[in-house]
Amino acid sequence: MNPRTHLLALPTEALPLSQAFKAMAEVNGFSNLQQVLDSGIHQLPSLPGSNYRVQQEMLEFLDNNGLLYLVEDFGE
Amino acid sequence: MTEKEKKAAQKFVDLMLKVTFRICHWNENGELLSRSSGFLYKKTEASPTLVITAGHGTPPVGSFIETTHVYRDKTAAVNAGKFKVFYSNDKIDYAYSELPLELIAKSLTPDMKFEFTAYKEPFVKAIKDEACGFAVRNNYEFVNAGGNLVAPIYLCYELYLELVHQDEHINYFRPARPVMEHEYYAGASGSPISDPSGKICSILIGGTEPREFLKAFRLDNIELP
Repeated sequence: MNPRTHLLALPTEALPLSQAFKAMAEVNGFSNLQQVLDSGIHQLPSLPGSNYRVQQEMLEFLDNNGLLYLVEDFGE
Repeated sequence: MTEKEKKAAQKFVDLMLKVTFRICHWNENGELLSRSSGFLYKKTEASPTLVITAGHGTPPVGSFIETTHVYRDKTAAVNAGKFKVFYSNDKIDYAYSELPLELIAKSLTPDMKFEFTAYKEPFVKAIKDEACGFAVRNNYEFVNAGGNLVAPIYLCYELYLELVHQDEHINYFRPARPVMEHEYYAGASGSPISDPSGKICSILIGGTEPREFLKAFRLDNIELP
């Protein structure tokens, strides 16, 4: 198990994420990244208060922490 | 123009549209900062896939390639990577990024279908008496249409560009028709310009003042990864 999976359960407020990301999480009722993952990262840009940069930030955060494998890959 | 010439011109435009796309630069809040054009370049099979562009200030992050896919009434966009400026002149940045393929694959919805073609040939030196050209699906600004912000798209192109002057970094082309207003080319900066065989020689910067020529940054004498 990746030792950094605990990051997914931490409150988004406690993570080094942008204010834009944290505002999006609040608007959509996400209190941690696991909830964002569960809702489907692919639809993130179309959520209220969200955009492609928010999705990019989430993916890069997961990547930097070795957690990108948790996102389903639909690309070819 | 004869039918045969029209078909050849259309074929050239279609070829350029396959490799040229638009790049949006957004701030952290998702507000549009600027827009440019660019293309994918892959030097060898082992080389990274690069995004090459030019524009008035290319932010290192927050750049996205517009796709032809519409998702929930919005033009879908994919991460263009982090730009590094490899040359800067006269307030124009010439930049490239490595396309983050894994991050892009993770961002796509299952039904997202689009295709980008990477340019894999060497860049060539533009020469006189050869008709060069570019084409990009461009737009002016977003407009409010029934409550939605949409960007009306038009085909921005020039065919039969004639090289009239060349210095160390810039090609100066004379269009076959009068140079259009500045707005016509806005957002087209970074479009690849190719020779009649489709080999890319430079990227569009904009027009000269007074409006007589189009300027393009040379790619045949620079080193990219």
